[in-house]
Amino acid sequence: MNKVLRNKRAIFIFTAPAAAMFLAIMLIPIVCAIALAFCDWNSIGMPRFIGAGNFVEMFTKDKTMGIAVRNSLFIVVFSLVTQQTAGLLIAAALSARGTRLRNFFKNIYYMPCVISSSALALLFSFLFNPNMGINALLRIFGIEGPLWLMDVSWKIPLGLWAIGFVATWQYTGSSMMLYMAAIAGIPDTYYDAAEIDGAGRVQSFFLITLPLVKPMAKISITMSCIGSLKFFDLIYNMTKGGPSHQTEVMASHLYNSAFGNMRFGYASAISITIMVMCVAVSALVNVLIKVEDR
Amino acid sequence: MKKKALACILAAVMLSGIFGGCGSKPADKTLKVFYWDDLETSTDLTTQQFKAAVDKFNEADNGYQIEITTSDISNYYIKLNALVAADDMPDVFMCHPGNLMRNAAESGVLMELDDILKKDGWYDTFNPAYFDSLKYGGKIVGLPVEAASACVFYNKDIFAAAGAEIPTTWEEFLDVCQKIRDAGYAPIVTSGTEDWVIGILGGYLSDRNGGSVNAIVDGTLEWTDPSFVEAGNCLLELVDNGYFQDGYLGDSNGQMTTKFITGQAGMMVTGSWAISDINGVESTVADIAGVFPFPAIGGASDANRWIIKTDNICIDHDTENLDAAVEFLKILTGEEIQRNFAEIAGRLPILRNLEINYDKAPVQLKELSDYMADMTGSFGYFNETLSSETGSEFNNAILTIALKQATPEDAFMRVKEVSDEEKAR
Repeated sequence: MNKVLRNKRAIFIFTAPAAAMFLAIMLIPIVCAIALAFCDWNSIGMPRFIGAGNFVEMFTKDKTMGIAVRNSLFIVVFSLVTQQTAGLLIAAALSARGTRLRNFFKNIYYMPCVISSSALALLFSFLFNPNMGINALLRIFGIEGPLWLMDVSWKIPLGLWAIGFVATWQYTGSSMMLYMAAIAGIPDTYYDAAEIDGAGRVQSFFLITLPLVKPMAKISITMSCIGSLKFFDLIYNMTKGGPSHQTEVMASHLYNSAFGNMRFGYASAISITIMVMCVAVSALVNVLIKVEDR
Repeated sequence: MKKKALACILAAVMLSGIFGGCGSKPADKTLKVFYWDDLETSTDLTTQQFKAAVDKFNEADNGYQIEITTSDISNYYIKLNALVAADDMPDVFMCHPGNLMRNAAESGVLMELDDILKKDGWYDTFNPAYFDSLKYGGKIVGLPVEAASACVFYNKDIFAAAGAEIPTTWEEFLDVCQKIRDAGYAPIVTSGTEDWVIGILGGYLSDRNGGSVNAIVDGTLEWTDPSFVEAGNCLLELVDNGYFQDGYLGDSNGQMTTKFITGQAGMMVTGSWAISDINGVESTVADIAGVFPFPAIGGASDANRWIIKTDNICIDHDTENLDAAVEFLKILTGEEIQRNFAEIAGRLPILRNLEINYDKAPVQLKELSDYMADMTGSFGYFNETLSSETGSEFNNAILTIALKQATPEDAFMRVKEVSDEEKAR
């Protein structure tokens, strides 16, 4: 192994395929998107440079973009609160000593993560359909259910809360797995010592588990925020951003601009905005959650 | 030694698979066709006639086989736009008229068909009026395959049970709705999840109140005109009186159609393509469904103005298989397939002087043709005639009014804003 690591040619040969893939699939498209963000282009002919025109339109004229940013930030906050809390609590419960059928329940909670988002969206669309699913159940008890995906009378439309719930159901398992890995790395002796000192399970959770999963929480929160800012599948398959664009998120607005209205330059500008927001959120999490180097 | 031998055998098996195709008959060339319904699984009668044309082409000894790609209609243009962007166009593809065809033409992907049509008198077989909406820059860029108009389908048995007669005015229409509702049926079925459906109703309400889509396109009418606000108020009359089916906001176009063809509703406002469904395997109303024109609203309104459009087929501007594409289009627009479009699927024919046996055709087609003989004018679907964002916002406005999430004034003001922004770009 040392011989390989000293051999620069070997290093180049082994890393070249991955580097080539990164370049082709990630770096070049990102650079192209940045360039296109400053152009007007309908995919045919040459892009026309328009400077910051797309960004000016996005932040001053496009009302749908304002709604999309608001909704995306709502998804970020909702996911953060629900997925991280639920994921951590479930991980703590499953990691506790003496928990029976740990692996079975771990798999059950993780299973929604591996289900296709499109299939999930279809399933929950039926559940939230005003004529079927939940409303049909409520009607048995004489309750008239709401228009789950179409009621936009609230400031944050009911449809977005419903989709947020589906996202929580789908991705809590992912957070749970990360926290379980972190908790598995906490020595049992800490809990033994706490027990000897008279600490209960709740106290142990707050005083031992929480501080020691902080590094993993930072990773999980960052991934959750970035995923929420790029959120698309469930929105597109359940509401398509409607009614009246009230459940649009940035990714669905990007998609409609590109493939619905053939405005690839404008869509690229939206994608750059999403990228900048992801970087900003990562930096913010880094600043707010300080992890001590051991 | 054994492991090496096993590895060699397995490698040889893999390699033999690669060379398995060698030595067989050279494959036919491929003509790529993009269609908006699944030819293999769809029970839609129109789709079945398209499939018949594909099969006829494939059976001919022309050295070509059609490779069909399909998409459901709601994602069709998104997929087509993605193919345009990726420069991976099919040789032949379907396209609606209006802004969708305009977008494709502006993108430069449509072949001009004038010279091809003028050869051998092919152009003269068509009803020339249908080419008006298929031109870009004065050149024909699409070929009509079949036509449809928007009308009111009605269930004759429900009308008889409710004591209702075909309405010719808005007041009569509301009266009919009330009678059907009192008789225990849904007066009108529509869809809330697919806004283009309720957009058709919105289009007629607008036109009947004086809000002409052609005047909007010409720039002689503004979205703030009272005619559009009145159209919105007419829609609210239907909503407030409960004249749409329960739960219409959650119904798709398919669910709406199913409710009508299973005898649950008195009326359905949609395109005449629904004749296929009304006469399909799942329908119980084939013999009792009729059509009538959308009624007039107010004295100056004209109930003989119809929404008409054609479903069209276009050729990729740089296809390498032009002769095969033309051969397929000639089969599709030939008398045999066109007669089947009319007699089996109930579509309006696009050929001049096509003899149709109306005894074999769906009853609704005859009624529709009789009404349309008195046609005084036509216009397109609003969302297709207007530019793409404005057309989409129009449908959105109609749905928003029905949801009571905006007043008609606010909803159409938003349409104006979108239209102005689009024009400014």
